[in-house]
This record gives sequence, structure tokens and C-alpha cells, in this order.
Amino acid sequence: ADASLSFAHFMPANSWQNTELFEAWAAEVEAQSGERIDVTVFPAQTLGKAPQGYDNARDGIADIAWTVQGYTAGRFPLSHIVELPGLFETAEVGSCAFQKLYDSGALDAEYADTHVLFVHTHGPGHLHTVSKPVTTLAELDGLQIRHPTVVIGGLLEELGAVPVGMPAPRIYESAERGTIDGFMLPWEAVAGFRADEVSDHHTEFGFYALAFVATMNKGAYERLPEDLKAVVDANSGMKWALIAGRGYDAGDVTGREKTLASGTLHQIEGDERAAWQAAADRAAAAYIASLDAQGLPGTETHEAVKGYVAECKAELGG
Amino acid sequence: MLARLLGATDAVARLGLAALLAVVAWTVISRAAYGLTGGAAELMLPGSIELASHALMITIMAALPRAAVGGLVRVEIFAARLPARLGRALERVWAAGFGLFAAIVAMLLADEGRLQWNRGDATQDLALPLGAVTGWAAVAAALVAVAALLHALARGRRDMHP
Amino acid sequence: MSPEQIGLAGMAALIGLIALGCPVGLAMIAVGAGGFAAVVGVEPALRILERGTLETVTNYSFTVIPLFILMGAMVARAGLSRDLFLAARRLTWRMRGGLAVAGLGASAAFAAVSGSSLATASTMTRVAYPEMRAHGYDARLSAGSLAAGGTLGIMIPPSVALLLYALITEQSVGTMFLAGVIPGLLGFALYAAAAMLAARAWRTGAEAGPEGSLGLALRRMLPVAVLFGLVMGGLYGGVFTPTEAGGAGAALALVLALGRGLGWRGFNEALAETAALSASLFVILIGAEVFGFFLSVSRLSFGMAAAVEAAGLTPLQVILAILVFYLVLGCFMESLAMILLSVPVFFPLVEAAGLDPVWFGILAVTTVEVGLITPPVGMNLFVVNAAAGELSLSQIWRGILPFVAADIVRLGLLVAFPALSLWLPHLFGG
Ligand code: NA
Ligand code: NA
Repeated sequence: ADASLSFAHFMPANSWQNTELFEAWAAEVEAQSGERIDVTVFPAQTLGKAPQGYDNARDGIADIAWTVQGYTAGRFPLSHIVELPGLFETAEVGSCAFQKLYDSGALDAEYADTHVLFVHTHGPGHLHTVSKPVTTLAELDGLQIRHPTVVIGGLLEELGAVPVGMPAPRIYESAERGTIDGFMLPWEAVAGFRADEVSDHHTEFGFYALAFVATMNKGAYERLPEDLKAVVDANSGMKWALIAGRGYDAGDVTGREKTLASGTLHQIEGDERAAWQAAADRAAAAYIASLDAQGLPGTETHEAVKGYVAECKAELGG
Repeated sequence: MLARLLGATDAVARLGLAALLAVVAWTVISRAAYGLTGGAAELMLPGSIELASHALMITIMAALPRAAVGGLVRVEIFAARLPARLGRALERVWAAGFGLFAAIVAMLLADEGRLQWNRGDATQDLALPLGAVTGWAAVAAALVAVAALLHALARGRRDMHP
Repeated sequence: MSPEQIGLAGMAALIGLIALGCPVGLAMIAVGAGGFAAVVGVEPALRILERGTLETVTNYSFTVIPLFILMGAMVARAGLSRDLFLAARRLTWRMRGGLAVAGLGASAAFAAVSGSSLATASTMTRVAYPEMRAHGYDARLSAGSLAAGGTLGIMIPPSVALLLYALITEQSVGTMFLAGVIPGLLGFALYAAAAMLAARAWRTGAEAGPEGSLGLALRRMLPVAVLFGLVMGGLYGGVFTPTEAGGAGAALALVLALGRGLGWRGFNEALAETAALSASLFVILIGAEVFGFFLSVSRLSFGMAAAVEAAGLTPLQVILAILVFYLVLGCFMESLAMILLSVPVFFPLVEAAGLDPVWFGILAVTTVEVGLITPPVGMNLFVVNAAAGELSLSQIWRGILPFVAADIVRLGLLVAFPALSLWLPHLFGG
């Protein structure tokens, strides 16, 4: 092969992400390059820990890394806008809108030090509680709830819960031991991390959607001859953002089914729903205002995302 | 000079460890109190997981200078049979190697810390400036490097096994 | 050179450096970074030094390591060892070799609250060795039984060795601890049998008469029982995470030690000793992290797994080969370093062979434990030698032989009957 690329991610080797997303991407790139590019996928943090994924790609420890932007607060402030509540209902639409936002150049400053392949989101994240059913804000008050990023932590505070930040792989043990009362996850991840075993109640609301990025070391990209760059380019952007989004949506369907086989579903109704919506709106507004206060185009970008969501819904027929 | 440096870092390491114990013990006690009072006693520390990680980092980084000066795990059986002069020379090489490692880590951490500071990166729960956390680790790594290099330059073999 | 060839060269360099007396962690750091530089590039290789270090020293899961070591350090200062020995003596006074069995029993009980073999061996030797000699016990049997008894600390939970294995292979700490209970008790039973046989063979002196009532003996064991109950009960009762179990255990051990006259100075010493031991382990953990990057990109583990498959080895042959390797290595190397060094290399092989990771962990740790008492480099032998202070090392080597034989029997049983390791974790749904 003329170029060999390492592709690092933190999902287990037997996860659908590894086979249907990353190995599939590798196979496609290898085939389209006439086997002149060789991609080796390193699953399960074997080439770097999850929170360091982005920097590992920046520094060339891995040629390509797939990771969650939000593991450090304040690094991708505009990207986090897609995580805010109430923007979209499926990972496919979210991923499409996020990719359009990226393609518009609005996020270029945040990713200046790597070569982004594609960005995407997961489906709507819901609230899962260990033993206490939650359908009202009063029931949520004071509960310790795990969240993935600061943006979602702010939302939890607005809802009256006590946010606890931790990476998803630690949820199982923390819920089992009672160090948290519940956690925020999409259905796909509840099943994926076996968190259905440690939670009895599931409040379906659609609070947020996590942002992901697959990105490449700049030098590794620049070193490719033009025709191989073209192969990588052909496998960047919307095509793989949509594959990732659809994968997460499919995972949500099976994950929801599996989880509810042994748990109780709760919906938020009537006046409560309005109160929850108001709290979610306040959290979103507060985040946007904090961006604006820092001199970042928060409001503008939020509006742009809403526009892309509408476009994507139309294009994807959702 | 080496002795004074080690005295200071040892004291920090003991403090860090005591803080780690205090944070974890408080987490256990406050959760028990919360459970026993039916949620009335909310004494939980915010960001206790993050605090414990920081305490671990302080403890280990501050204990490393002492480890660098003869406290590292090694296999002596073959090395003990080497000629004495060669053995002393190798001892210096290992100390210098550890010092070099620590110096590289210190420089790269300082570099990363500066980037994080300029970007305004913060930790998840306590929103501490990440640049300051990484910067502290860089300073500690630099002290490890100084201790190891002083050890490598020490004169007699007696100094090498405190 | 292909990445696999660089990987093999790196392995050779690692072994060479360690044989030359290079600190184990430093050797892993140097070879890991050098190998990564050769496969990927110099700048990324320097970056993995920074990232490996920071990731390791800020890893929340690793907070459990100093906490369990601290618990052991406090326990060693709480004067529990003497009470345990007196209590065990009361229970064993009719047996031939009863004092040796009492020493072993007290070691097993002490091990149940101490994470460390060395702490168990040194504390129990100071307490029990003079008593055994005063009762006319054969010096070899006295020293051998106490050196062997110390190794029980590595298997009977909590155990720093099982903890490290769980952390680096991402097994549940609770499951690993549970899996160690029966092998640890089996070790005690076989050691006791060996001590009784040796007492007969070496015609050791008369037994001591009973001292105090049975009730007193039980009361003397109470603090240890409470501490063990808090840590293990909390861990399995779903109350504590491993870190919290370590923290709660260390805090209670501190209270016990304060109640038994631990002063400011002793407290400071315990902190200093814990920080120093933790730091030396963390250097190897950092080395394992850096070396892990190199192992991944060299694809050596894949290559080894493929070679094993091509050679047509059965899983049992794979495990026996690894255990023989451990037995040999254990003659020369410190136990925790050996686990940290070798498990990242062997674990992919074990997984590829479809072996149960918990079972393999118990076998590996047992074998490493045997290394603590096999000459020429057996840490427990050195510790007992220092603490007993009247024996030559070669006398201790003679005294340890019955116990090494007992360990070989135990290892055979654990290999032949995986249920000895796996039944308890399965019972608790682990
Ligand atoms: Na133990
Ligand atoms: Na040995």
C-alpha cells in the first residue's frame, strides 16, 4: 500500500460502530483506492484513551480518531449548539444538520488543527433513573444525574437535578452502587452499555443529542498524493455523517425495545410538559447567551442550525 | 539541595494523599447521611470524582521525585553481578534516562497547558481552568526531572541508594 | 523493518534493559516510546509520553490503588497482627505444628485486611517468629511458614495484585476479589497441611499450652472482622465502588490505629510509605500505558495470537506455556511489576484462545505469588530474613520447600478445576 492509516476509536470491537461504521469506512476507502490505502482500525481505546482522541489525531499518534467533542469543556463551544434541546428528533436529521453546519465553515476555527472527515450526532437522549420514577420536576429535584458534557450539565441544573459528569463506560457501576440516581443516554447507548440492567424507569423527553467527530491528522492528509486525497474526500462529509446517524437511529429502535422489556416508560404530560420545555428553553437560551457574551456568534449559529434542520427534514423526507 | 527538594515534594505528596482519603471518605459519609435522613442532609461535595482525580495526580506527581532517586522497581539479580564500575555507570544512565523522560513530559505538558489556558478549556464538573491543572503537572514533572538529574550527577555510590 | 519485526526487537530490548538493572517502568517507557517512534514517528512518540503520564496519574479508577495500600499501611500500624496470632494460637494449640498453623492462620486473617504480601510477611514475622523460636520451633519451619503465609495477602481479598489485574484488563474489581477467596483459602489449607507434615519430619518442639479463653480469642479477631466486613460487604452489598471501599477501609483502619496509639508521626509515616509505593507502581503503570501504544501499532499481539493459532495450540497448552513462563520469571522478578509488565502482552493471547479472563487472572496472580517464595529472588524470603534476623538465606530456602510444593499442588488444582476460581463470582452474578 502507498499509505497506511490508523483509525482509533473507543467503542468495543464487537460494537456496531466498529463494524458498520469504522471498519466499513476503512473497507470503502481501501476498495476505492485500489488497495493503495491501507486502514487499520484500533477499537476499544487500544490507540489512545477516549478523552484524548482529538489531540491524538492532532499530534499524529493516530492518523484518524473518532471521539466526543465535549470531554473537555469550552473547547468546541459552537459545536455544542447541536446538543441543545428541542432541535431535532432523529440522529439522521441531527447528523445532517451538524454536517451542514460544519460544511458552511462556521466551525472552522474550532477544528483548525485537524482535517475533519465528518461530524454527526446520536439520537435524542433521555432520562433513566435507577429506582425513582420521574415524571415531574418535583420528582427530579435533588437527584444526582450523570451527564456527558457541560452543556447537558447546565440543562440538568435548570431542571433542578444535581449534574455528575462521567464518561459512559462508568455509568453501570455508578448506578449499581447508588453513587448516581440516574443518567442521561439515548436508547442506543442504554442497551450498548448494559445500563438497562441498572435502571428501572425511563423518562422519554428528548433532552439533547451528543456531538461526535471523525477527524484526521493534517500531516497524514497532506502527505497523500492527490488521487488518494480524492478518495478520502469522497469518503468525507455528508455521506458518512448520514450513515452514522442512521446507525444510531437503528440502535435507538432496538435499544428502546430491549430496555423497555424490563423497565417502565414514562412520558411527561400536560402542564408538566410545558414546565420541562420552559426549563429546557431556559438552558438553551443561557448557553447561547454565554456564547454571545464571549463574542462568539451563538445566536446566529443556533438560528443556522434550525435552518439546516428544516432543510434536512425536507431532503430526508422526515 | 536534593534533600531539600525531596523534603518539600514528600510533604506535598502526603498532603495530596490525605486529601484523597478525605474526599473519598466524605463522599461515603455524606451519601450515607443523605440516605439515612431521606434526602434532608445534602452534604455531598460537588465534583467529588474530579477532586479525587486531582488529589491522585498531586500525590503521585509529588511522590515521583523520591521514586526517581532509587525507589523504582528493578530486577537486581543480573545487575548485581556486573563489575562495580559498570554498575555505577549504568546507575547514572538510568537516572539520567528517567530525568530525560520527565523533562520531555514537563516541556510537552507546559506546551499543552499554555494552549488549554489560551483556549479557556475547563474541567467538566468544577469548571476549573484546565490549563492551570496541566501547568501544575508540568511543574511537578520538571521537579522530577531535576531530582533525577541531580541523582545522576551525584558523586559516590552511597548517594545512589538512599 | 515491518512493525511486527520492530515489535520483536522491542521485546528483546525490553528484556535486555531489565536484565541490566534498568528500572522496569523506565524500560517500558523507553522501549515503548522508541518503538512507537520507529513505527509511527518521533513527534507522536514524544506526545505519548506526555499523554500516557497525565492519563495515568489523573485516572479516577486508579485512585483505588493508593487507598488500598494506605489501608494496609494503617492496618500494619494498628497492632492487629499480635491479636490475630494470639487468637489463632488459642484455636490451634492441640495440633502438631500448631504454632506454625497459627502463624499461617493469622497471616491469612491479616491478609484479609491488608492488600499486600510484603506487609503481611514482615508484620507477622515480627510478631510470631520470636514466639515460635521461644517454643523450640525449628528455625526453618518458623521462617518458611511465615514467608509462605505472607503470600496469602496477594490472593485473599483485598489484594493490590488482583486490583491491578482488574484495572489493566478492565475486569470488575469486585469479581476479581471474589474469585480470589477460594484459591486464597485453599492456599491456607495446603500450607497448613505442609506445615503439619514438615513439623513431623523435622521433629519440631512441644506445643504451647492454651492462653486465654475462646471468647477472648474471638474478641481479638473482632477489629479485623469488622474491617473486612465493611470493605467486602460494602463492595458486594452494592454500597461502595472499589475506590469508596478502599477509602472507607483506609478511614476505618486509621480510626483503629488511632485507638491503638498511632501518633502523628506514625500517621505521617503511613502516608509517606503509601505515596512512595504508589509512585513506584505508577511509574510501571505509565510504562504499561506507553508500551501499550507501541504494542498496538506493532501489531505484535495480533501476530502472537495468529502464531499460536497457526501452531495449533489448545487453550490449555497456551495457559500452561504462560504459567511456566511466569514461574521462571517469578524466580527473578517482583510480583506487581511482573503483572504490570506481562499482562498487557499476554492478555490478547488469552482472549484469542477463548480463556476466561477472571480464571486466567487468578492463575497468573497465583503463579506470581509462588514467585514471592521461590529462590533466588523471593521478596518474602528477604523480608522474613530481615525481620527474623538470625537465619542464613539458604536455611530459609530449605524451610520454604514444603510450601513451594503446596503451591504447585494448588496451581494444579486451580488449572484442573476452574470452578474453584469462578464458582463464587458466578454465585454473586458477576
Ligand atoms: Na489481601
Ligand atoms: Na521468586
